[in-house]
Amino acid sequence: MPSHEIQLTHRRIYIMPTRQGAMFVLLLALMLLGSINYSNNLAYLLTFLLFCVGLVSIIHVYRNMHALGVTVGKCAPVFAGEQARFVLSVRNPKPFDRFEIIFQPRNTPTQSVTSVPKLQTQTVTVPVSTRVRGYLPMPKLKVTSSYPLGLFYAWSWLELSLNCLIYPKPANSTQPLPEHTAPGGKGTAVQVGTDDFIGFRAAQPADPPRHLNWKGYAKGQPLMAKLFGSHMDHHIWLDWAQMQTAGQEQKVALLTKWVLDAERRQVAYGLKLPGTQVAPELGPHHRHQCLQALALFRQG
Amino acid sequence: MFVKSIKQSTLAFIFFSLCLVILPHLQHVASWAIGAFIVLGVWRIVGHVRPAWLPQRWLLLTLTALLVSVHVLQYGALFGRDVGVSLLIVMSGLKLMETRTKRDSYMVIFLGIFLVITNFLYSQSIGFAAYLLLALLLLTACMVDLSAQSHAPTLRHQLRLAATLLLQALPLCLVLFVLFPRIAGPLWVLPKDAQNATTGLSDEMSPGKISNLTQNNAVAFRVTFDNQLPTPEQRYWRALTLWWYDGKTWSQGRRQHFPQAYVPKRVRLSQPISYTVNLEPHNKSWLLGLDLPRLERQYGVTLTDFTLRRKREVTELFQYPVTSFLQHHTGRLNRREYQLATQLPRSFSPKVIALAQQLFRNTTSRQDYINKVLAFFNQQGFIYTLKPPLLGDNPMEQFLLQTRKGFCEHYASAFTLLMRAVGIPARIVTGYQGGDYNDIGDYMIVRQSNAHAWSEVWTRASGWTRFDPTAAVAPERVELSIDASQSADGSVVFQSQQLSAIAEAFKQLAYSWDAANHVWNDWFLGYDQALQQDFLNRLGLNIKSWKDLLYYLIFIFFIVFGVIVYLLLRKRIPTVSDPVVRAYQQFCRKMVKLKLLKKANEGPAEFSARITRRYPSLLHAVDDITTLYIQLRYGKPAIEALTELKSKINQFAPERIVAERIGKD
Repeated sequence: MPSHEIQLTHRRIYIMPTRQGAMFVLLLALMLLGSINYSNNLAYLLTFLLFCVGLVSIIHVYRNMHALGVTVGKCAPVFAGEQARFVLSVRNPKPFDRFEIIFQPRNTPTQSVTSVPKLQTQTVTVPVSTRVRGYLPMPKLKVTSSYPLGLFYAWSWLELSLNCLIYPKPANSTQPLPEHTAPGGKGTAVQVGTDDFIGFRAAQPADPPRHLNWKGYAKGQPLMAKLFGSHMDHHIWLDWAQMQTAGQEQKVALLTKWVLDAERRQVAYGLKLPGTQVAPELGPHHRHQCLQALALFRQG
Repeated sequence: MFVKSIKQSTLAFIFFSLCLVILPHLQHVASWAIGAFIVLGVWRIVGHVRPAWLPQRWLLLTLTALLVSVHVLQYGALFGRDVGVSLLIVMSGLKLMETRTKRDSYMVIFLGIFLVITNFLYSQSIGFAAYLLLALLLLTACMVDLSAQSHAPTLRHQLRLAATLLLQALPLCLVLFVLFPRIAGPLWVLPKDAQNATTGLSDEMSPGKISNLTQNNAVAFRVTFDNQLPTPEQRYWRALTLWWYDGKTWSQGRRQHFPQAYVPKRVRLSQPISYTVNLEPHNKSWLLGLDLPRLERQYGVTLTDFTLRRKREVTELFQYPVTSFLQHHTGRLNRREYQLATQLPRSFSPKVIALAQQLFRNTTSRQDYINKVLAFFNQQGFIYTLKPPLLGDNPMEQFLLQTRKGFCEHYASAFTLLMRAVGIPARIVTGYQGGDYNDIGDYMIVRQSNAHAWSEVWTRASGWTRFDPTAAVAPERVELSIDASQSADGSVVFQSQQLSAIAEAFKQLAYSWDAANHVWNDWFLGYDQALQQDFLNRLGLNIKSWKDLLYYLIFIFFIVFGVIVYLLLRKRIPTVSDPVVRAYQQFCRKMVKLKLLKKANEGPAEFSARITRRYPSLLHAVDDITTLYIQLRYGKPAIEALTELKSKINQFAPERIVAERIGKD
């Protein structure tokens, strides 16, 4: 049952010897045999001392993990194929430091290591590779530590509920953006940079000063830039139904690429998918909305 | 593929720790083996940043084969203490070179731990043990370093953590040490290796053999006396009797001449003195005892010539109780003994025989003759020296008639031969003479420099009787010990009884250290089955069998372990470091008993007022404390005021005041 926050208690923590730990036990057995054979009291002392150090280190290993609290943070959306970065926060409520806490998602070799000082919280990022679009729930996490001696290790499984939105992978295509559609017919392609004023958009550093709306800014409005283009309709529609590409995923991929292109070219774009429609706009929030729609799109 | 999962500093740390462990082995392991280790280690560490310099697999295999074969060449075999250690050292170097992953590094550390324990096969002294404990601390810190690859703790932090772990493990370790059953005897036969040529008394005597030992100040054995100490003239420590003279060397003779293990019947012994000897290992099977000793059977055998033997050689510290009899008559000689005791080599010098006969003329008894011979030594210009002229083929003739300069072995030999020359049974006894009393530890120290040889002559009055011809030439020898450091040019210098203040202080220090060593040997190194039984009985634990012992062990072990678990895992309130606040917290805790809890948003003055409203009798005390606290906390800090506050709070007993007040009403 995944949850937002988990605290590591004695019920969840298991301890086992590492491979070095097993070899250590073998070493101790040999040393004990040697001590008995040579009746050497100092050898006995050394063997016993090491044995007890090993035992005490079990307590330390347990203590290093016990009572840690793991809370979910955020996960920024990424494109399929990139690494999703799940952010967690680890809280150490005890008055001693924790070291070398390792987070490893199930079935992945990558490990994220963190140390949490006493009475503090630390964030840790768990990267997970992605393949398909949609929501990726964070895989079961193994939290493990073998500090301080590395002879024993403690582990615990965490099922946390944190999802990462995976945008579809944009198609590797050079197909240009569709022409803009005026209401009721085909129109000419939009060109940016011609004379007619078509609207405002948020100011960007590269904008030439004469394109900025100083009047409005003096009135207290946020600094906007004036958009110029052809006086015809200033948006395009990315329409599922109008596409010639075969295959659902290819269509999604192409649409994704178009969204990115349109955003880059600063052409207001709208998205039409069977069952969903997003009105034409520009901006990071709009981009996210379209990409989200594409990511979550399921036909039928 | 080379994976840099370990830091270079970690590798260097491991290498350094291993160097420390291997260093003491320099004395008994070939230096090329240690050299190989150092080369391999440094190579690997440097190669960590330049992987191209590291050897390929084939090169490594070749090196391994090469080093192993050099071992076989040098030692002849691969089994044995010294070979084993040397191989272990070289293998550590090879493994270090081969280290790629963390697991490899752990293997190197484990090899290091094994090397630490091999050191104990050679020496178990206190200083050595402390040194190796330090090495163990470092190896533990290496393990900490290995498991902390991502956050790079400081060396100080690693060492502190390692020390903490060791200290926490110590009580458990002591429980195990005291209660773990000691199994007597080896489980398998120890590999025969070239024993260290331990210097000490040899089982033969010839000119020079004993004088060589005067430079050696090492402790031969320590003796704890049950009652009174023997006088210096009584401190003759018997080791061996030598019967067979071949013209140059005295030895024990052939097998059939060896004394048998029984004490003959008509022996009369009296004036007993009992003591315990703590013998340092000398790789021989004879034991020491005061003239004339008797040993209990479980420790060894007493032979007909009153020397003591053990079944196996003494390869480690051996402690045994002895009763010696200072007055004795050893009974009659049988024919065989008589023949052996009057044996002279075939080509014995006729001049010596002539001398003997000359001295023998006109004597009335054996004792008379003996006195005459002693007087001969005393009056004829004989000199007691450590570096007498070398003697040739007829050593005794040369000595008696020409050089007249010698050490105790010359005099003992000459005296014995002069006895035998006229048919009086005599033999050589070797052992030690003297001993320094260590008043700090209440025991006597006998060193190698006390080694001595004297003679025994058979008389009807007392059987085998001791005569020390050295005493005729240098009577101080019996009273004093030879000062090893000053006898460089040959003349014998005795230890001065008058010491300067500094020398005296130094001597006391040396005695204290030796006493510590003695306790270490006695109680810690000598902790065997017998001592364990004794110790546990004294503690009140009744141990009848090893099963009892195991039950006690497991029981007490778990208790101590539980205590440690509790101490480590209990909830700790984060302590406030400010002592003023801590003191005030104690005050608040006391108020809790009266059901008055200070609220988080309540200031100290408010709290004080609230208390006073509830319990007016506390007004004076609480007001006092609160004012002082506010002054300290928010005003100027003053140490005297803090002490005052602490003591006021310590003495503050609110329940008592309230109860008194209620009583009054």
